Amino acid sequence: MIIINCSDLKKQYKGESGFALSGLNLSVEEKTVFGFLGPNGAGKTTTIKILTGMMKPSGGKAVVAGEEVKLNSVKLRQKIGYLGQEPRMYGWMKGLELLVFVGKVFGFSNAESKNRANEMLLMAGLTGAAHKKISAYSGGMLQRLGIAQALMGKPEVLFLDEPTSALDPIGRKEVLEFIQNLKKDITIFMSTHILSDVERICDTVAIIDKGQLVVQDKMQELRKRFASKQIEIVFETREALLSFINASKGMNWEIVSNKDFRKVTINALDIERVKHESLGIISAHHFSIDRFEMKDASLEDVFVKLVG
Amino acid sequence: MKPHIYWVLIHKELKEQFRSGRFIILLAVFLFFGIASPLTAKFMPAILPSIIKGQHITIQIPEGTWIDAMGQFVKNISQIGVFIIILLSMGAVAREKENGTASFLLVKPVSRNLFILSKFSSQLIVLLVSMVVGFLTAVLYTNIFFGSFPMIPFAQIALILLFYLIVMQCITIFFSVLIKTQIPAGILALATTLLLSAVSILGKPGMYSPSHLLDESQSILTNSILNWQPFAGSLLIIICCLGGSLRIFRNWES
Repeated sequence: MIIINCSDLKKQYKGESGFALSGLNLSVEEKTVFGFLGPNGAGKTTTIKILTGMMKPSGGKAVVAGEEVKLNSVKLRQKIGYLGQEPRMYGWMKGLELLVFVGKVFGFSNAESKNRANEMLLMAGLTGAAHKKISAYSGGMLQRLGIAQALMGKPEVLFLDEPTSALDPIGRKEVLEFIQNLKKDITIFMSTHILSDVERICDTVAIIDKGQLVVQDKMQELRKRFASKQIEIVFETREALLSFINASKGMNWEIVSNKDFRKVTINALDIERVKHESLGIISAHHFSIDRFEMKDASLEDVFVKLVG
Repeated sequence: MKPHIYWVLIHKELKEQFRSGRFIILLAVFLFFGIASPLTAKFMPAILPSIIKGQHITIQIPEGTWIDAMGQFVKNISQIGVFIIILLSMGAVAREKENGTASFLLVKPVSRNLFILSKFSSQLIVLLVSMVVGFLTAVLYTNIFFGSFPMIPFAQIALILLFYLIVMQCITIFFSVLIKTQIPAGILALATTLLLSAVSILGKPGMYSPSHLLDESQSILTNSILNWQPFAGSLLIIICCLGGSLRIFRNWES
């Protein structure tokens, strides 16, 4: 079932001639982790701000959890949770106090709010810091508290805007594991430009560029569609690499080379044919190689191909 | 309108004002003037001659009365008090916009109108409590220094003063909603206060300026009939600030 649907969504900021979003179409299935990718300035944050009712679209329509997206829709906000790029919360409050406050804002009683807050703290691994001032939390703790507060209202959809971009590797791992555990109950719409995070936890991916959808598909389908396999060859010498590039001119391949690391990456649709042809060239010219590897294309390769 | 959420927001606002020290500062300012005003009225006639002693100047100051104590209280609060109120209220909304907590709250089921109303109400509560404390302290010390005096005119004057302060507070919160950052909001509120004082000298239209409220407080002592214009003008400003804030904030995008 589709839980988020955008049709022809547009946004033009005041005083700017161009569109930040120029007719975005998206649909997200419920109870999935949806990765929303794009280079900086592609319109990811703008989309999330519109979908969470924080910003008014200049055109088009969006529906989230059955509610039409409007600037001041309390009904919509009853059904969603949101965490921005940098968690901004009341630093003067304590962790538990903030969650209880959020619970009350969602209309829970004092006792319900306290119970739910304690549950959320436990899930976020912050029970020990419940009575610590938020201003004293570390980056990873803040991010986990941010997700916990976003879940306080039992949302149907959780919007996360670059939830791991400000974290160190340990903090990132913690947050990603935390997000992954949530998907059995809710839909997660996560914008990011960290492709490895998307590969790790997302079921479906959409890539946007210049305010428009470039592609949307399931993670595995996307890899299949856009470069199912690649060949990576590392030569012993730089000269061998340059000679190989020369010898393979005229072949129907797409070669990406890194001369400093003596490495070429070959993308082609008929990868088996390329394998035989490239091995033929290497053998005919007696090029010395360190490594010859066939591998699956990463999301990064797809991303670079589509918006690079 | 969900009163439950409204009270949750008010409670949060009051807690924030208390923990940030803003409540205590305002309370301390009013308390200070509540003590200092009768004290100054009582001892100034004795202090001044001792300061200019040896300068061959003779100053004759009549002995202070409860009216002087009250006059001092009104003067101090309407000048320094207003400045402190602007400083403490200029970030009411602007600070939340600046540090992102407005977005944090408004992505939850909180109506924007309730958010703004809770700001006005909580600031008003803090002002009201501070004023009551300041007034009672001034009454106590005036009673100590000058003996018993008619309480009703004093209370009426304090009410008019409170009304004047509410106008200034509403103007400040309005600019805090209008402007993105708190310091320019405070500067604009201060400039508007000065402008209203300047406008008050413009004959009949000037009578509508809230600055005339302070003159009206003197009319109570002389048993003169109060002019309605400054009250009407002030009420209109309060309504415009509140209405304008609600309207502007309804379309605010984070």
